[in-house]
Amino acid sequence: MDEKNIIEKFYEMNKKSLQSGVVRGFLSIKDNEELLELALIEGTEESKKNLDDRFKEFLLKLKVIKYVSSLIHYYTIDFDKRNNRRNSRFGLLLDAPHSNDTEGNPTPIIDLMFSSKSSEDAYYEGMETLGEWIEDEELYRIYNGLTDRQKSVLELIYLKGYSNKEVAEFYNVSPQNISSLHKRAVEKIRSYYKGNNQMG
Amino acid sequence: MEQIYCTKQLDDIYDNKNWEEVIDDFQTKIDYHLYKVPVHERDDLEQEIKMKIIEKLNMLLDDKNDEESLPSFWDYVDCDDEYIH
Repeated sequence: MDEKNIIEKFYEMNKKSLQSGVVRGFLSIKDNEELLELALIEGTEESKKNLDDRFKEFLLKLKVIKYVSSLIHYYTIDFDKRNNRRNSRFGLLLDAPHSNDTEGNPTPIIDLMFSSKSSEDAYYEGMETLGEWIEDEELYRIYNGLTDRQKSVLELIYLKGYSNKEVAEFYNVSPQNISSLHKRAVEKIRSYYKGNNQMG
Repeated sequence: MEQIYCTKQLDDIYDNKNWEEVIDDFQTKIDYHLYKVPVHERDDLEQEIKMKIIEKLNMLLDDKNDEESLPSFWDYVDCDDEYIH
């Protein structure tokens, strides 16, 4: 039987197993396919061992890839959970007593933090704006072109790390509303930045 | 991604403990997952993931010594020696 026949026969006999993921992936690399053909034609222990060594190396790499991929995936979830748990257990103690007022009653910290102005005014007072953090001139120009609402939503999300839900509660609107405001603002920046368009 | 990874010599990476290269291979995936946590947590998470990868690769490196436990290529296919030769 000539060489071609041997190889064809082999492929014929192993149609099913060659379809399986690992073997197919292994043989899709040209060098490996050549090693297999060599092993089939020569049929020596050495050529078979060469192929086998390569195959084991391939399996090991797959193992590493699989392992690290799921590690990244699950570690992120775990990390997030851990953080949420910590944040919910050790929240800021705003109603803890800070000092005693003139009549000797304890004053909670939260009372000292806000003036009689609305909470929104108090929030903005003396607060650094996101604009102050932008070093890129072009970006700064684009940022200033956004509406006030867009700017403050970006500020809350990126500077203060608020979630959509928290920003929504702050403004008393729906989280979907904030999400689309956020999305539109980012899209606007993206389309003008490094683009040919000029801000209107 | 698997293809890219497989062209590299894993032994080389293992022997030289060239972790940066391994981590670089997974950078895209790490970045993707970083988006799932709040902005100010991302640096921490990235660092922790990378430390974890190195730790776990060391573990897998030990496993490498019992390569015997890996299945052989010939376990996957039928090869009728007598017929072919």
